[in-house]
Amino acid sequence: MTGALPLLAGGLLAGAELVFSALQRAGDPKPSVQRRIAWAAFVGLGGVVAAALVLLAATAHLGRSLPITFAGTAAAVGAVALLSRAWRR
Amino acid sequence: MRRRTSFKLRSYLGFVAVASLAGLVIGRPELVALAAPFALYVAVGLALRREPRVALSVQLKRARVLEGDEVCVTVRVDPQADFDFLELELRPWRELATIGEPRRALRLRAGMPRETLFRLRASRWGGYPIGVVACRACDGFGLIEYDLPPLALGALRVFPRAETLRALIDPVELQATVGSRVSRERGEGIEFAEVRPFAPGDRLRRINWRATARRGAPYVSERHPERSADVILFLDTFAEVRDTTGSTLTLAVRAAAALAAAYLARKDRVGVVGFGGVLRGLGPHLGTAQLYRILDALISSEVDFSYAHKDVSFVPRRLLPAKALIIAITPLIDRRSIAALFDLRARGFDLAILDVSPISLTPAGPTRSDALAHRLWLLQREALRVRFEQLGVAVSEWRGEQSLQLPVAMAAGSRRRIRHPIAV
Repeated sequence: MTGALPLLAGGLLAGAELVFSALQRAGDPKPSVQRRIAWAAFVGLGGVVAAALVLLAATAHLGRSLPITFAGTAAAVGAVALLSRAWRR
Repeated sequence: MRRRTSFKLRSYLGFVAVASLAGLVIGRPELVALAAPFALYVAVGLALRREPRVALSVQLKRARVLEGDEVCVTVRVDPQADFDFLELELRPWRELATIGEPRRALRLRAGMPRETLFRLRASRWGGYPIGVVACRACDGFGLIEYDLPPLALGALRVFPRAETLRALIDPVELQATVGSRVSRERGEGIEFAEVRPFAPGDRLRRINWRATARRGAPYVSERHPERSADVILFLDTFAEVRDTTGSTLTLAVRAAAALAAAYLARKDRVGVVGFGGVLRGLGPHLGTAQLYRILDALISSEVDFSYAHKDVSFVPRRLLPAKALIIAITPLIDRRSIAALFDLRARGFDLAILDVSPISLTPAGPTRSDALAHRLWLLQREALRVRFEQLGVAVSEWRGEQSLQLPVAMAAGSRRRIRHPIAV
């Protein structure tokens, strides 16, 4: 569970960003869905890294959390890349 | 410029505080790690925030319009730096209705001015401010909201839309000035009146040769001269009846504008007296310029509440010239204005009353006693109308739903019937 925590934190932040951008009032600068997902993914990835670093600094679960963090980050990047490719098509 | 924390910032900070506190209390660093990305987001967002630097200006296409016309207001935004979100919200004056979306959001890039068009419709005559545009900006991270000083959009003058009238109330007496009305008097003119025997001093060109040849003595033609009339629009501004759909003063000003335009088109001199808590007046004159002066005076008409008793002696003499036709436009609800109308008639003025009826704006109440009171009030109004007609004053009712032409024509017709009053 601890090893997956950075992923959870990043996902939570990305979800919150998506919700707040959806609540934004309509207007000509309202970003497209693609841009909003991209921004949420970027923020989420940052969140994953930040949470992982905090967790690393605070706990000794280095052996478990580090591989899971990097694997999760790579999975998230892959998912975003796939999603953006699907949008372009 | 006022700064406010956004809901997003408050939510994130709240989550960070709760999670960190819970982590401390139960001794689990995982909760702190969960809150860390939110804390980092807030820290980065606040460190990178930029204040909006924009110059706002407004362009008004027309500052004078007619009732029902569209008013186009262009707001120009000159950004001096990039900014992600600027919201303009139009807050118009109550007499103006917004057409389309009153909120516009803009993404600003430095050196690239943006223009936003707001459209409004003027629903009522008057001189009033258009309103303001409230500006709200938010940085890219959405953490701080900035309320910029609202931009005033300037003032607007909305003239009443005057209905074209064909038949008008004819004055009993005309003035000595030349106009386009055929006088009953004899003199120089175009319309033939009669023939009479030649008298010393008559010009030779006036000799009617046919009549002279037939009767064997010189006869001259008499003609009706063309004269103008003085018309005073006597606007009762002591009281009005209003509801959400309209008011008697709104109707009165529309009627006054239509009558002024129609009489001025006939080359008559027209003046206005606003008789109420504050006395307003415009002496009679001719021409298009006078029409605009009258419209300007009319749109500043309002009911000024006052307990002060006023009678006709308060009105300057130049506003009520002799032989003028006075058309009173009144809802006949204030005793002071009713007394002033009786006074005008007693002073020998040629008077006609256009009653802008408050009846449709004052329905009877729900109870039986309310209904009875309403019927009594209607009877009272009818009795007042009969009293005026007995004095030789035509009273015509206008409720605003039908054309103004109808009550004006009815007043003109009833003036012919009641030319000889029973008692003055």
